Amino acid sequence: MTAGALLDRAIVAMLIALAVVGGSALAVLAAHGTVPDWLLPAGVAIAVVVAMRRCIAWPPVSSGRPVEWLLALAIVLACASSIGYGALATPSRHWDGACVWDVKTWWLTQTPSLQQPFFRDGAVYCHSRDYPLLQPLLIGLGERLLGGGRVLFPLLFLLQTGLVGVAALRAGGRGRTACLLAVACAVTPWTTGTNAGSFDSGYADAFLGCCVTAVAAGLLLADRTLLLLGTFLLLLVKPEGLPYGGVLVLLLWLRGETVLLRAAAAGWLGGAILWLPLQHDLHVAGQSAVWWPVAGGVLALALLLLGSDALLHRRGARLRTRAIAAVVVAPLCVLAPPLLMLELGDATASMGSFLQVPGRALARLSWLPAVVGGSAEFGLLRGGFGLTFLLPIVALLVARWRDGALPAPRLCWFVLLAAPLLLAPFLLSPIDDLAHHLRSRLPRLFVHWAGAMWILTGAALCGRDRQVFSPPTARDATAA
Amino acid sequence: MKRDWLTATVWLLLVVHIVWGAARLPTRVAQRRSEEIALYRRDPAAFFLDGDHLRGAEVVHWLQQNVPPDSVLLWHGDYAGAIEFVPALLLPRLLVSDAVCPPERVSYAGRQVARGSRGGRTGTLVLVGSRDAITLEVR
Repeated sequence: MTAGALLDRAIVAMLIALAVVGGSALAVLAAHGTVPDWLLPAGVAIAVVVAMRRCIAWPPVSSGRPVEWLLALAIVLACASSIGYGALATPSRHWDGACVWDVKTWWLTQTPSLQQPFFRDGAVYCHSRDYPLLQPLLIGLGERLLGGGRVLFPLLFLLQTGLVGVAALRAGGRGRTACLLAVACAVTPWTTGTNAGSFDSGYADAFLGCCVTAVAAGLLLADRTLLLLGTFLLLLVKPEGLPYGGVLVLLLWLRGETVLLRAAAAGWLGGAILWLPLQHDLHVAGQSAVWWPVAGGVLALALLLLGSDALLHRRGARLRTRAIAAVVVAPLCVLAPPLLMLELGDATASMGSFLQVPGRALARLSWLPAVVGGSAEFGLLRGGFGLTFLLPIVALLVARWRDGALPAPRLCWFVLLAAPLLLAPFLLSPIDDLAHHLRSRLPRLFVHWAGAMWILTGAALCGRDRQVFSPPTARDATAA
Repeated sequence: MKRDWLTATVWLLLVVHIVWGAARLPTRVAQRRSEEIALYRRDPAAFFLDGDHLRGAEVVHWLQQNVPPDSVLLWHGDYAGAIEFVPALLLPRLLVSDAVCPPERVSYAGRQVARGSRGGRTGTLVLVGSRDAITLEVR
């Protein structure tokens, strides 16, 4: 087995472990039970067994010299060690990490159940009570089992870096290209350093970034497993995962990519069916359940998406027809789930407070230039992300001009369609101080997309590698 | 020829990002992280509150020393701001709104409501949160 194939299996094993342990643990919480301690080792064992059976085709490319791999590994491990030290030396040292995530982690470590006053009593101070619980639950289970649950943070860093490297290799990149991309992702200052939203800050933004990176790799490689797991986890990590997943499903529906659409819709709707009732349960302190209405809504949406896709395929509909039909489908994918979240959850908390007054966005349209300018400032000029957001733009333009076609169009469209989601919070937020809001939120939103940007850069660069290393085809031989 | 030059520029930008990022690792990443950890270990309350220009670290210190861990602390005021740090800094104490649990009550959810003497007064302790400070009242 090559190093690339081994790395691929390790990454898939980790994603399966996160999904199996997280999904089952959240189901236990939703059923008002206590998560058993054996769930973590059992989930990891299942993940390893399933991942070892994975069989994928690898492109015929140069895997590079061992010294390149060793050098890249040394740099990545140095960054991971620093993050691991930061994560384990103290509890979270940044605002939301301490106030929101660590407190929940502490209570779930004592008793991995929601049947305790901290979660159940509305009079007890619980910041962002309706936030997804995957991260605190995983750390809590790790803490109970091994005493070092926060080792999750360096592991997530390795997962994201590995995803970037493996995606480049599987896209036909040389070993050297994959190593360079993985190292570039690893040394990105904001995620590796000690900032709000970085891996050891205790925030869940870097975790969400890993899920988006898995989705991006799945889109680039047309890999259903990565797409399914990444989309499922999106919803269990942070509220933003719900609209991100909606945009992804809408894109695949628009492009008529049935196989990928099924995988993404299964992950997205599976996550929604698990998380939305649990969010309601947290809001009403377990007094009422909405399993059946949510399951009905999700099933109806699945039938509509997959049924309309099949119908449009049968009629041989082109993109233009699908774009017209999207007038109905797009609001159902992008707007309906957050509104359902608002209806079932706490209207004054997390996403609810943003969606409570939708008219606010219209009144604030004049803010748009400032928000776009702020995005350029924080993403490109301040240096926190280095060239993470500039390089894919340049690399894609060069590849488009050089090869006459845009590399990874599926992924490019995903990023473009999701871009308005980066601007929306500022127009919808109850916070009136725009400068402060941009400063505190923008870098965290960029953390969600940093890994995906490196995969996009890789797609542009690996197209070149593929040309260099492609074995001669019969047509080439004839021409020769 | 021109196209190769453009491709080379992309590779150069990639190398610039790596060199620039790697050059920051010893100082901006490792050293800053060590300093932050040392500062946190010295005094977590001061690290969070003083570090964010919020007042009330001395109130947290006093409560850590004078209120039993398995008690309930009453509070009122702004939900956002300095009070956000209190549940983390005072774990495993629970923070309960005084609108639900009036200061006359002795216990709440099976826990003692925190009482104490401060500034010459004895009674139920009530934290007051504002945007930039935490203060303590004795009722």
